[in-house]
Amino acid sequence: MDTFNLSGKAIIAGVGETAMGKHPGKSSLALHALASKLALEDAGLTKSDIDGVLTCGSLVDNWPHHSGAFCEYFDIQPKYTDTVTQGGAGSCTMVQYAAMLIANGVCQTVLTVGADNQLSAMTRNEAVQSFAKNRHPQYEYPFGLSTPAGYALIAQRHFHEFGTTREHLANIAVVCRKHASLNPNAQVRNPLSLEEALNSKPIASPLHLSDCCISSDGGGAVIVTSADRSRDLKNHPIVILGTGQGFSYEHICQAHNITDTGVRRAGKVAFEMANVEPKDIDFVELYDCFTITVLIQLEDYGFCPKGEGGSFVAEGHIQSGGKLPVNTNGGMLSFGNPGIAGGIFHIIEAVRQLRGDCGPRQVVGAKLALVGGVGGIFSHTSTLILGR
Amino acid sequence: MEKDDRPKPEPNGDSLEFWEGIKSHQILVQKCSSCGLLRFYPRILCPKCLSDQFNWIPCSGKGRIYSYTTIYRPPLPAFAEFVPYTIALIDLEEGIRILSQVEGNPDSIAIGVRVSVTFEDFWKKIALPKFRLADQ
Repeated sequence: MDTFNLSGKAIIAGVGETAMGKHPGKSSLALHALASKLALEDAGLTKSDIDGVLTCGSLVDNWPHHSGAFCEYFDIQPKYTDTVTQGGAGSCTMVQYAAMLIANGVCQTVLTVGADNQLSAMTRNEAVQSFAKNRHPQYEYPFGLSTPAGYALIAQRHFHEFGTTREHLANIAVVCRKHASLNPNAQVRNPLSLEEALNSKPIASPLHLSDCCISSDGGGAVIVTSADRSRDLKNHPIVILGTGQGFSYEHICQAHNITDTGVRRAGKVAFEMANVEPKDIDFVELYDCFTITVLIQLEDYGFCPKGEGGSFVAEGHIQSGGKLPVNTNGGMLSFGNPGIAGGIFHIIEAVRQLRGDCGPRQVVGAKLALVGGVGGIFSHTSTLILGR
Repeated sequence: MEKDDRPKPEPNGDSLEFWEGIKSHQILVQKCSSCGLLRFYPRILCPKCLSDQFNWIPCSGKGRIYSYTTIYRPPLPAFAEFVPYTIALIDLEEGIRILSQVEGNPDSIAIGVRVSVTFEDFWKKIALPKFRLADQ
């Protein structure tokens, strides 16, 4: 059966991100609204142009209808609105669903927005606990499985099967920090040496603190519209060329093979839709809740053979100026991570790179990007291929 | 030990017999009467053939570690006094994979090592299956 091809039918018209860090005076919805305003300004559009709104939820706020709470706060009555609940994959998925609504003529312009005030509104314990509650209430949570521990199970198995090492993973954290140091809006910009990363405190073996993303207050928004509106926009439109999802399981205890993820299926669909191959991609923005998440995506998207993610990283390919720069804004490991919304900044960064707006961290000749989202413990994966 | 505030499993219609089995120190899994598939966790239909006919089969409680992690940063305060503790995905002889804690020196725990089940009865109403290193 031929699948409907979304490629080229929708474009990213505008993006906006708030300051990243600690903002004690700003609620979760406030950060959603501020990011949305910035994205509208960036697109040169107004609130009245928006006829669809998608959100991806909040750890801090527990609204039964999250997108409704946001639309009320922003005082907007779109034709269609909903909340995507795929954890960290939600940001890429919001943009996919926006593209589908637009390609089918259901909506003209869709606002997708993710934000949270996790750093100010939650203690570290509360944040860790709120993620741990996503583990299965009968078969995981009572045994003390944390979210880092779920990814640690994958990392340990990867070490066993392929000889991956802690140094390989630490390299990813070091590169993200280096990229963050070039980004004035990144939350953590002080240098990180390989030695410091390796000596950071253990969280869930083999993962240490430097393998784990940071916690932030902040918000990001991405406005998607139809390709035929390109001329009305303030900035160069970025085309959505490919999209895909790969669902595997909701809980890691149900995984058949924990080192072979849904990323492969999501990537296959997205690459086919965009009619490109991994070697055509100029740079990638990959969900980096943990360093191992990046390494697995590099392999399962096909940027290197399975099991060779460690050496691919060690050879320096993922650095700015390398063969495949990864997480050029610093990623969730260093740029920022407001809870569920962490993935939206990967999309925003890809758009800015493709526009050529990234100053000292600009990827030279950036024409084609892949953005990867991951939710749960490689439960949901979601992919965007974007081009200028 | 009822003061223990670690989260307890709350059995439901799918899992009541599994947790009753754990209380009587047995791991019970469902075997499809139609296609013979063993399944865990328990659910109303066979995920392969969708038959709703099944029997509960006891497992030997023996298996090997598929992957593991030693946790230093507890997911919630109730686990703080237990760190570091080790969690593993365990492949039971019957072909079922289960997540649990493995007791013993973390340095002796590795992928592929043999483990056997033990049971922790610290609540009146519910027990937990745990594992310890077996003779290799």
